[in-house]
Amino acid sequence: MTGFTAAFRLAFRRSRMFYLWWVIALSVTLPLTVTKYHDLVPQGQDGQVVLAQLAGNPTMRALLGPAFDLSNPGGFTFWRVGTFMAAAVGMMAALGVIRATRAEEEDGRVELVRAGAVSPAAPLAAGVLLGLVGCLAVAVVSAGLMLAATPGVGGAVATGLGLGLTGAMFVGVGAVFAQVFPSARTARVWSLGIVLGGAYLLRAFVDTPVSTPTLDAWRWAMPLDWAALSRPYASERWWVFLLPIAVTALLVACAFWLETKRDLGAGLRAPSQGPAGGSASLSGATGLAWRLLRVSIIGWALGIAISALGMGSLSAAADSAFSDQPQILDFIRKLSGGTEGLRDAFFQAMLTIMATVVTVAGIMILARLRSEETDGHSEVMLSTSTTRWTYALGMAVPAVVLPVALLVATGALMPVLQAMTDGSPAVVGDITRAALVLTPGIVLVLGLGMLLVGWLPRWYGLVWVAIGWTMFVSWVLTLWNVPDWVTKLQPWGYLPHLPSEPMRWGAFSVELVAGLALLALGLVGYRRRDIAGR
Amino acid sequence: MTSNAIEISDLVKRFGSTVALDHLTMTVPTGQVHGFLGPNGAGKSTTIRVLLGLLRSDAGTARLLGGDPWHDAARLHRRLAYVPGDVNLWPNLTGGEAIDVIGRARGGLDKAKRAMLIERFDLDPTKKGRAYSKGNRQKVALIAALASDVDLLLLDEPTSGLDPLMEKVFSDVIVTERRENTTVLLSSHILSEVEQLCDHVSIIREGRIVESGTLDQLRHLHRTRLAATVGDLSVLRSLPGVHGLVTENGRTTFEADDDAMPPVLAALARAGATGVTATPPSLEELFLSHYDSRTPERVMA
Repeated sequence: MTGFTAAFRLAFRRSRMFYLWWVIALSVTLPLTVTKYHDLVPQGQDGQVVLAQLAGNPTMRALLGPAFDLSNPGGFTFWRVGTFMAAAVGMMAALGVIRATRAEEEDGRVELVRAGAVSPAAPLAAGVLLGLVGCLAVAVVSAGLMLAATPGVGGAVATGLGLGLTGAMFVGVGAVFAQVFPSARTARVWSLGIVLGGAYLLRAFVDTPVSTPTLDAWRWAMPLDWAALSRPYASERWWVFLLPIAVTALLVACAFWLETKRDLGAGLRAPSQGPAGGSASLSGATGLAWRLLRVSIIGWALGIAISALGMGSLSAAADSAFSDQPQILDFIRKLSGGTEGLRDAFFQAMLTIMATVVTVAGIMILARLRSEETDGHSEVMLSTSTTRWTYALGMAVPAVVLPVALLVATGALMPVLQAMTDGSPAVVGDITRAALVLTPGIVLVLGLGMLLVGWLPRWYGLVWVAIGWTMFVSWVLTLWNVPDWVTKLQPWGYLPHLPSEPMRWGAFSVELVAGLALLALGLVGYRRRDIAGR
Repeated sequence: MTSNAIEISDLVKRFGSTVALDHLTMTVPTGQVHGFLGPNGAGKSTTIRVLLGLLRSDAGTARLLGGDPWHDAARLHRRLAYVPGDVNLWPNLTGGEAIDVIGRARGGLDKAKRAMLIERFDLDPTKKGRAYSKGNRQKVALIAALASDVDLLLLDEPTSGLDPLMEKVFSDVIVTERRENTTVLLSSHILSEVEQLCDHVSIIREGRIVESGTLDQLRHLHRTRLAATVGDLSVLRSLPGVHGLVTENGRTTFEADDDAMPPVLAALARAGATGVTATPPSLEELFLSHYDSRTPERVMA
C-alpha cells in the first residue's frame, strides 16, 4: 500500500501519548487486584462458601459477568475486573481509531495526506493498525504483569488475549462508524454509547440469572463475555479467541469496503438540506446550545431510561438470591459504599455507577463550550450582543442540569418494576431520594470542569481524571486496605448513601455549595480571559 | 457620540513572550472606510479581536464607538458586525440558520436586506455548514454581518475565497454602506479592493502602525524612480534626496524623494538629460516595501 509507512508514522506521532496513558491505565488494574486476593478471600472452607455464593449473586453477575474458578487468584481477578477492563480496552480502541481517521479527516488533515503519493486507504489502514498495536500493547503488558504477580502462564496469556482481542473488535467498530458518519463526534457516540454501552447492558441481562442451558447459549452471543468465556486461569479454552478475531477481521474488512464507497470528507449518506432560515427557537445562546445539543440530550435520555428500566428488572433477581452470609455482605459493601440490605445494595451499587456515567454527559457538554471556542464559533457569537456570561451559561446550564436530571430519572425508573411486582410504591420514592442525594457529586465534577474551561482551557481534559479516579477507587482501591478517607476521596465518597445510611445534610450541603462555587468561579474566569479564535 | 469610531493608543498585547501588538496607535473617524494592511502575522486579527473585546489588552487604551471594547462589549456589539478571517460554520446548521442565529444574537437583522444579500451573493441557504465550500462559508459570514443595520463593520479579510464576481458584489455593498455613513475597518491583502474602497489606509507591521494616511499621502512619502541618459552625473550626485544612482550602458537610474523632485528635475534639464522617465511608486511597491520583513529599513526596491 503506497504511503502506508508515512501515514502510520504520522498517526503514531499524533496518538502516542493517547495510547501510552490508556495502555498504562488499562494494564495495571488486573495485576493490582490479583495481589490482594489473599487479603480479600477468607482461607479454607469458609472462603470457598463465600466464593460460591458470590459467583451466584445476581448483582455481582450483572456487574462483572460469569464466574468460573474463583478459588484461584487469577480466575477471581479476571472475574472481578477482567470483563470490565476488556470493555475499557474497547473504549480506548474505538476512540483511538476514530481520532486517527475521521477526526483528522474532519479537520482537513487527511486531505493533505491523500494529496501526496498515498493510496486512498492508507490513512484508514494506519489508524486501524495503530489501534491494533495499542490493543497488542495492552495484551502484552497485562499478560507480563499478571505473570509476574501470580502463577499460571496460560492464564496470563489468556488474560492478555482477552483484553487485547476485545479491544481489537472495537478497532473494527470504530473504523466502520468512522466511514459511516462525516462527524467524529457521531462516530464516537455510535461506537461507545450505542454499541459498547448496549453490548455491556445486554451482557448484564444475560449474565444476571443463574446459569441455565438457554442462557448459556445466549452468552455466546455476547462479544463482551468472550474474554471471560475463554476461562483464564480455569482451564483455558483457546479456541474461543477465534470469535473476536473473526469479528475483528469482518469489521475491518467492512470498514475498508465502505471507505471505497464514499468521498473524502463525506459519510455514506449524501449531506441533507435543511431549512433556509432559523426557526423562532434558534435564538440566543440558549437556543443555539439546544440546537447543538438536542440530539445528544435525547440520546442520553433514551439510553439512560432503557438502562434504568433494564437494571430495575434485575433487582428482583437480587432479592430472591438473598443470602445472610456476612462475608458476602462485606463484599457487597465494598462494592456499593456500605449498604447492608441486598436489594438496597443492588440499587445503591447501580446508582453509584450511574452517577459516574451520567456525569460523562455533562463533561461532554462542557467540552463543547471549549470546542466551540477552538472551532471559531464562540468568537462569532461573542462579537454579537451575547454576553460572555449568557454564552457560557448556555452550555454550563445543560451540562449540570442534564446529568442531574438523568440521575434522578434513573432513581425514579429503576425501582418501578419492583414497585409494581410488590405493590409497594414507597421504594420509588426511596431510591429517587437516594439519587437526589448523590447529585452534588455531579455538580462538583462539573464545577471542576467549568473552573478549567474558565481559567485553564487547554487543560480541560484533566476533568476526566475525576472520572478515572472515581472508577479506580471503586473498582480497585476498595480492595486494598487503604485508609477510609482515601476511598472516600471521590465526588460521591462523602455523600450519604440512602436508604441504608441516614441523611447527612452537612455533607450534602457542603459539597453542593462547593460545586456551585467552583461553577461560579469558572464562569468568572471565562468572563475575564481571552477568547481564542480559530 | 464622538467623531471617531475607533481610537487606539499605545495598545500592547502579548501572548506569552510574543509581543503581538507593540504600542499600536490608530484612529478611524466615523464614516470612514479604513483599509488595514500588513503582512501575515503582523497583528491585524489581534487588533480586531481586542476591538471586539475577545482579547484583553495588556497596556494602552482602545475606544470603540465611544465605549470600552472590553467592559461594554455586549452593548457595543449591537452596533457593529464582524466577519472573521477564517470562517467555520456549525457543521449541522444550514447557512440560513447560521445567518439567523448570528443576526438575532446581535439584536435582529433586516429581513429584506437578508433576502437581497442571499440573492446578490447567490447563496443556497439550505445547505448544511459542512457542505459549503470556503467561498460559500465566507458568503454566509458576510450576509450575517451585512444584513443588520450597524454603525461599524469589522471585516477581517472578508473576500478571501470569493470569486471575482462575488468580490465585485462585496465592493458594491461596501460602497452602499459608505454612502449610509457606516464606518468600515477592512483588513485585506487585495490591493485593488483597498484602492477602490478605502478612503484611508493604515499599514501594520510587527504589531505597530508603520504608516497611515490617504493613498495619495502614502505615495508622497515614497520615492519616485527616475531614468535618463545623462552626460554629466556630478550635479545629480551632489543633490540631497537622490538615492541608488547607477549607470548601466549609458542609462542612469536612481530614486528621488518626493520633496527633492523640483531640484532633481531642474538638474536633469541643466545637464541636458534625454529620455527622462519618472515612475511614481505603485501601490504594490508601496505595500511590498512594508511587507518584506527581510529588509526592514528599505523603502522601495
